[in-house]
Amino acid sequence: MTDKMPVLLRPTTQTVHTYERLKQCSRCGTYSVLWHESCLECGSQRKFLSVHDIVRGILRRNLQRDLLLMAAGSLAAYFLARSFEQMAAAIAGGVLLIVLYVLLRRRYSQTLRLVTLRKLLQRESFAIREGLLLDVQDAASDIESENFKEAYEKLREIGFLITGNHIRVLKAFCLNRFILRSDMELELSSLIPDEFEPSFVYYLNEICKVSPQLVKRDTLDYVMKHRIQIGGMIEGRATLALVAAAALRVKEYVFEYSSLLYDFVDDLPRERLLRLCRLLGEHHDRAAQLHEKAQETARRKYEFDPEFQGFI
Amino acid sequence: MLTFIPLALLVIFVASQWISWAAAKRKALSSSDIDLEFMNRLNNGEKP
Repeated sequence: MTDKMPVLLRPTTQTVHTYERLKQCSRCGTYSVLWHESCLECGSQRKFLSVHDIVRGILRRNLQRDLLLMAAGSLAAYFLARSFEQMAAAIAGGVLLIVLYVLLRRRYSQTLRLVTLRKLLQRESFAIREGLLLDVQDAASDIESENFKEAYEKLREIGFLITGNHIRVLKAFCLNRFILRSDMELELSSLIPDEFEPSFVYYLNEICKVSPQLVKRDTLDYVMKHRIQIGGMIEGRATLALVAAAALRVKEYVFEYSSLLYDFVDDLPRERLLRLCRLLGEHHDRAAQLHEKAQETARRKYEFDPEFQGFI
Repeated sequence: MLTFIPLALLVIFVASQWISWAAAKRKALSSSDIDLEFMNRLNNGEKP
C-alpha cells in the first residue's frame, strides 16, 4: 500500500451507552452520530437534541397533557355539581388526585424515563437507520474525494452503532491510507470482516508491527480460518509470522494456536523465540511438537547464545 | 351524582397509571438492556 499519510485522528467521545451517541435535529428530526454543527438533511445550525433531551421533552409534554386532562375532569365535575357540597367535593377531589398523580410520577420517575427511552428507540428505529445512512453517505463522499481521515473518523463514529461488515471493510480501507503509530487510538477486533478481506489483512500486518497487543482471540480465529488465503497474498507469510509473534503475548494462545506457531517458529525474532521457549519450558507436554520444533530452532540459530542454554 | 362521574374517571386514570408504572418497575428494565435491544434492532434489521 503506497501513498500513506501521517494523520492525527480526532479523539472519540466515550459514552456509557451506545444510544447516547445519537443526536436529533430539532428542525427536521433527522438523526446523526457525527460531530457536525449543521444538519446533513436540512442544513440548520446548532439545533441538535441528545436522546436524553428528547426523553426529557416527551416526559414534560406527557406530564402537561395529563395535568391538563385532570384539571379538565375536575372542572367538569365542578360544573356538573348540584350543590355547594358537590362543588367542594369536585375541587377537593381534583386537587387530591392531581397531587397524588404528581407524587406517584415522582416516585416512578426513573422507571418512566427508561420506559419512555425504550419506546422512543423502538419507534424511531427506522428514522435512526435513515439518519445513519445519511452519515454513511457523507463518509462515502469523503472517500470519493480522497479525504480518508475525515471518512475514517466518520465511519468510526457510525461503527459504534452500525456494526455491519461493509462499515468494517470501509474502515480498514481508510486505515490502510494512514501511517499507523502506537500512540494512535487504533482498533482491530471491531474491524474483523465476515469473510476473507485483503484490505483487513494489510491492516493486520501493520497493526502487528505497531500495536501487537490488539491481536486477541477473535483475530487469531480469523487468521486460522483464512490462513491459506492470507498465505497466498504478497507479504501474506510475513503477516502470518507477525500474527504468530503477537500471539506469544498471551500464554494460553501458545497452546490454543500451536499449529500456527509451529509453522512460523523459524520466522520468529530472537526475543519472541526466547519467550516461546520459556513458555513451553514450563508446560512442554501441552504442545510437544511445538516444543520440539522450538528447541530444534533455538539449537540451530542460537546454539551459543547464553540465554537459550537452559532450553536447548 | 353526575359530578362524581368525572371524578371516578380521574380515579381510574390515576390508578391505571400507577398499576402500569409499578408493573414496569417490577420488570427491572435497565438502560443496558435498552441499549442491547436497540443495537440488536439496529443491526439485525434492514441495514443501511
